[in-house]
This record gives sequence, C-alpha cells and structure tokens, in this order.
Amino acid sequence: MGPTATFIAYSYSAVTIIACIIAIGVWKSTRGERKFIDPEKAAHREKGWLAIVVAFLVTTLLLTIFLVPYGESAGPDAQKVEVIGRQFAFQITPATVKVGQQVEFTLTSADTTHGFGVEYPTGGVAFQAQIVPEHTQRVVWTFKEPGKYPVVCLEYCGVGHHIMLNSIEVTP
Amino acid sequence: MTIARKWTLRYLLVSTLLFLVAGLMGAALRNSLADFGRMSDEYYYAIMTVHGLGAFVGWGAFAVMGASIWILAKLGFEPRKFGTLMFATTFWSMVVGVVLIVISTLFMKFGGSWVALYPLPFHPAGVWSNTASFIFVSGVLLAGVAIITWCIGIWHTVLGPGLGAERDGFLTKTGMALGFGYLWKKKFPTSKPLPFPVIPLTVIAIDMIIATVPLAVLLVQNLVQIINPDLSVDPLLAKNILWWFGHPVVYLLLFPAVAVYYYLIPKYAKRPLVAGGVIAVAWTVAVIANVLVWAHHVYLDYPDHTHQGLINTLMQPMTFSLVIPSALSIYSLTFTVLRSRFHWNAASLALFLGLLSWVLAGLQGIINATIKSDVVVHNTMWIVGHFHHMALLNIGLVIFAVLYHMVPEMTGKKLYSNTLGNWHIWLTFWGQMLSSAYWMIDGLRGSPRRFAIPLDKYDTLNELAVVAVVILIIGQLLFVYNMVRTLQGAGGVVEDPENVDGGLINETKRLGPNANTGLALGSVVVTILASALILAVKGGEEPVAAATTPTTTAPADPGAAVFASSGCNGCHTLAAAGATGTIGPNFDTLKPTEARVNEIVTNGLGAMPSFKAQLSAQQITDVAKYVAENAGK
Repeated sequence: MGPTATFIAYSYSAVTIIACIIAIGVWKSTRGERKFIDPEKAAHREKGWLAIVVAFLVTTLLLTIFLVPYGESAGPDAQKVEVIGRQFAFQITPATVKVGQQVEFTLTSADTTHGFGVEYPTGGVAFQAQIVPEHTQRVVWTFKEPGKYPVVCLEYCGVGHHIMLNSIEVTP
Repeated sequence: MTIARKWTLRYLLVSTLLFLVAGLMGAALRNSLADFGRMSDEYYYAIMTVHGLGAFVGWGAFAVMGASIWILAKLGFEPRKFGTLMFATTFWSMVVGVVLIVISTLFMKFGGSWVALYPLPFHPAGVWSNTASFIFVSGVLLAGVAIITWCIGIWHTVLGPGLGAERDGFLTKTGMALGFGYLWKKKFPTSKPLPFPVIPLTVIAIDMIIATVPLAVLLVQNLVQIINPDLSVDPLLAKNILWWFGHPVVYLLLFPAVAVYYYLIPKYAKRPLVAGGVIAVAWTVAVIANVLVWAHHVYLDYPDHTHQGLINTLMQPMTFSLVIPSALSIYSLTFTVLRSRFHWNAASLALFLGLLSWVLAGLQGIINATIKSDVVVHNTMWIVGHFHHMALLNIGLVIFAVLYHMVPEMTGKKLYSNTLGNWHIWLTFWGQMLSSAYWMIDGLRGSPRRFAIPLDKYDTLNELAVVAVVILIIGQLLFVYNMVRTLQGAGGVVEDPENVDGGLINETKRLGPNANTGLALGSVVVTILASALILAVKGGEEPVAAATTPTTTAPADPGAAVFASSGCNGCHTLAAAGATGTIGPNFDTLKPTEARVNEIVTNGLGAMPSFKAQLSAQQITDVAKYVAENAGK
C-alpha cells in the first residue's frame, strides 16, 4: 500500500476503536441510577461541539485541498505515454518508462467510460483518472521506484471489465 | 391514521420482500467472488445491477419512505386527499419500476450496473439488446417518478393543519416546516413547537425534487437515443447529471432515518430530544449543500478544456459542510441517551448500534470526500465496504427498528420475541462489520470494484467473507421467523401502544442483558478480523506480477509485442501468448488465417473494434502473422 492508503488504514482503525469505546460508555451510563444530564445545558453545549466539528473540518480541508491532482502540467523533459481504453483492453504506448522522470499520460476512450488505475508493485492504488469518451484526460506522475506496475480498469465498463488489465514497466 | 397505516404497511411489506430477495442475490454474488459457485460473467453483472437498485432504492429508500408517512401521521400530520394520491402513485410506480428492472436484468441480461453510466447502455459488448436497455431505463425512470411523487406528497403533508399555521403563504409555511421558527420566532409563528422529525423530511422532499428532475430528463434522452442513435449527449454532462441525483439519493435514505431517530430515541430515553436552535441552522445548511456536492463522485474526471477540476475542488468544502447536520444530530441523540433511563429492547438496540454505524460510515465518508484520499480509494472495494456499511448498518438497522417498533404499533400485534430480535440485530451488526472490513482492507490494497472474477491476490479475504455471509443469513432467518410469528399474532395483543416498556414488544422471555452476547460476538469478530488482516498483509508483501501481460512469448517476434500491448489478450485466448480472454473467439480452436486476422484487425467485425487508427500497417501484418502461426500451439 502507498502512504495515503496506509494513513487511512491506521487513522480509520483508531477512530473505530475510540467510537466503540464511547458507545460502550454511553450504554453503561444508561444502566446505573445516575442523574440525568440537564437537557438545557447539553443543548447549550451543542454550540461548543459545533465549534469542534468545524475546526476539525477546516483543518482537514486546509491540509488536503492543496494536494489535488488538477492542473498539473508536465515539464519539457516529460516522457509521453498514450493510453487508449476500449472494451476490454488498455493500449499503452510506450509501456516502458524511466524511473524518476515525469510521465505525462494522455488518456482517451474508444467506446465507453473507463478508469485508468495504476497500482504499486506491492499493491494499493498509486494514481488513477477517469477516461470519459469524447474527452482527453491528462495525468502527470513520476514513478519513484523501478518495477512492474499493474494497470487495472477502475470504472465499470461492461461484461469484460475484470479482464481489462495491463501493466507499465518502470526501468532504472 | 387508517390511511397512513394502510400505505406505510404496504411500503414496509414490499420493501422487506425486496430486502430478502436482494440480500440473497448479494450472498450469491459474494459467494461467486469467493469462487463458491461462480456465476458466468454475464449473470454476475446482471445480478449485480439488480441487486444494487433493488437493495438501495427498492428496500432502503422504499422502507424509509413508508416509515416517514407513519411518523408524520403520529405527529399530527396526516396525509390529506392529494397527499394520499401522491403516496399511492409512488407505491405503484415503484412496484412497476422494480418489475421492469427485474425483467431487463435477470431475463434479458442487462448488466450496465445500477448507475448505467452513459454511454454504457449503448455499448453492450454483444451481451444485452437495445430492448433490454429500453426496459431497464424505463424501470429506473418509474422509480424516479416514484421519488418525485413521494416528495410532493411529503411536502403537501407537512404544510397541513399539523403545522399549526393560520393562513400563511406557501413559502412561509415551508419555512416553518424547515424549522425556521426555532431561529426567527416572530416571522415563522406556529401555535405549537415544530416536531423535530418534520425538519429532515421537509429538507429531503425539497432536495429530491431538485435532484431527480434532471435525471428524469437524461433517462428520457436515453430512451430517445435507443430509438434514434443520432441524439447523443456529452458523456461528461451525463455523468454530472447522474451524480446530481446520485448523491442526494443517499440522503433520501439517511434523512428519513434521522427523522426516525428524532421520533423514537426520545421515546426510549423517556425524555425530550436534547436539541438547540443550532440544529435548525444545520438543516438549513443541509437543504442547500445537499444539492451542491454531486461532483465528489467525479473527483477523478478533469479532462482538458473543461472546468471540472475547479468544480471538483469546490465540492470538497461543500461536502465537508454536510458533516455538520450529521454531527449535530449525533450529538443530540447521544446526549439524549446518555444517563437516561433508556429502555433496551430489539428496536432500541438497533437504533443504538445504527447510531454507532452512522459515526463510522460518516468518518469513511470524510475520507471519500477528501480528494487526496479519494485518488487511492475511488472505485476500489473500499467504496463497496463503505456503502454496504452505510446501507445495511446506518440505514438498515434503523429500518429494522422501524419494523420492530412500528409494525406492532400499526397492527396491534406484539412483536413475538424480543430475544430473537436482539440476536438478529447483533448478528447483522457484527456480520456486516466483518463483511465491510474485508472489502475496505482489500480496497486499500488496490482491489478494483465490480470485478466478477477478482485477481488472485485477493482470494484470502474473499473466501473468508463467506463466514460473514453465513452470519448475516442466520440473522435474517431469525428476523423472518420472528416477523411471520408476529403477524400470526403469536406475540399477543398490544394493549398500550404508547408504552415502550414491553408495550409493543413481547419481552417476557428475557435472556439476561443481551449486550453481553453482543460483546462476546464482537470479540469473536475482532479475532477473525485480526487473523484475516495478518493473512492479507502477508500475502500483500510480495510484489505481484500483473496477471495479464504475457511474458512467456519470445520477445524477438514483433507480432507478440503488438499482441501484448494492444490488449488482444483481454478478449481472446491464445495459449502461446498466455492469453485467456473469453469475450471474443478463441484463436487456439478457431485457427484463423493470416489474411483473415489482418482484415478483421484493420476493419473490425461485430463487437471487435477496428485498430486501423492505433496500429500501423506493419504492426497489423506482424500481429496477424503471429496469431496465424501460433494458434493451437
């Protein structure tokens, strides 16, 4: 898995455990003879909770919104790869690129929508983009390690969707 | 009350039957993934198509639509003549729509998936006919009409006498039903405070009309294009229209479920809902944001010469703002339960576990809504794990709570067994937690969604998932038995429908505090999950060679290189090249001549496209020679 997927796996597992512990706490609180929480006070504190939620969302937004893949342009030295998606194969020319040097993928579709997904040799999606017919989609990526990167179709495109596989060879 | 009772019971009956059928289909699909009874590709995708629509719209949406009618009636908003007409239209439109969808998929092999992403219905790869597409699209259109008429019915009902507004205009009354009275008392005066469940129902009624009308237009365009192929639309525009509907439709399930929470949790906690005026603000945000977040489904579309990238970027903060009504509702409900004299039975247990699932599904949603992380999870099995978690636990458990609480309320027959109900809820909860976890793990490992035959490296978890399927099936069998006995009257008669302490549910046969059973089940699940994780991660350490591009052929043959890089192996079998595709003819048995291959590669034939534009004449000659020489070897 890549760094983003690893981060998701750990952070989601952590919050799941915390949420379960809180749920057990709430369940236990209904079984004793403890005093009711004053509804007025709890309703008033809801504004505090709102502030916490908004702060969390704004922080997450600021940390991630500048990492969008849009509008990236390739430098003059970029290697150019043309990808055509069709039911049910990817035609990738050339299918061999050099490590550490930008690659500009130009994606088009011959029929319906496909998804160009490139995975790490050890598993996990490295990057992907949708290929909508009648449009040209560009993706820029720099491979950091040599190896054979599996290519999978990441948009359902019909009865042969699962055989729409290929790979890209990244050489040192 | 009798009109609301009649229609709600009909909605619940049909949706529950659809749940059982769609659930069995889901189990069959999951077993097929694990290679326990593998279906043919054509049937896998046809069943996947009807399973998705059947479970999401036919069960989830239909059930909560029905429950909403009953809740409104209980709160003093009885459907009037026009509203009743709308609810009846919704029911029959939905039923006929479902029938058409079943015919087009199960009997005519339409397998475009429930989104039928334009222009996929027009590229059937020889599997389904134009007639199948026409019937399928008509079925979806009828379901869309059902949603619109339900929304009109709800909108009409919430403006009724229950609102306590005298002689106010349509817009003012709508504002009252949206809870504006909590913010501006003087401008939106009502003779009594607005019941909280009315707010999310009004919000979704307005939003789903805005969301569904463009989709209906697109579906009509699809129908016209089937007859006249020249009338096409821009696929990117069509995709935006699909998700303009496709996001709010998720909330067609969630917002009525929130209304159920607002209605039932205070009854079980025996205290009013902890809620301040801020909740009305949150729902005002929701009514606007809900229809402005669609593009988070197309984060990975940003073709040249379009503004899609900019729209997508704006949708991340818009989507984040939709977290606010959920977060505030979860706060209100949690603090209503906290330290209350909460009455625990099958219905309230389902609500409580549904609340926990809502938190988890919401957190998964924030991950999906973040563009940076969507790049690695989009269209992987992570998403499948997410929406099954959402549909079966966040919404499904609420629907079970509705059935356990409201069927006795409506029929006057007590729920037969609280113990069986508790077991059903716990088995469903842990079964689906396990099932979704497997999918989410494989998704992070890169497993693509909608693969009839998953890649070998995901075999471990796919096989283990059958355990989760068995747990889920056992749970649903208990549910069916319990409901049948209830309707037979075996649980006795409801004497006090307003009493949640055993008034509606037969709680004489108690098995002690059932939470202990749940915790024990949970620890078993966590153990299975942990061992599965270890197995999966172990399997994922070694780099996996791409299964497809054949490496065995002699690299000296230029035809072999063309064969490999053009994707011939995707559809054709040729042992010499390690190709095992089954869509097109098998070269080893067909043994075509060089001239024949050359001609078909150049000009195409049937489903086989022409490669003239992509390959040079020399490359075509090479590949034709290569195929002719190696076929049958």
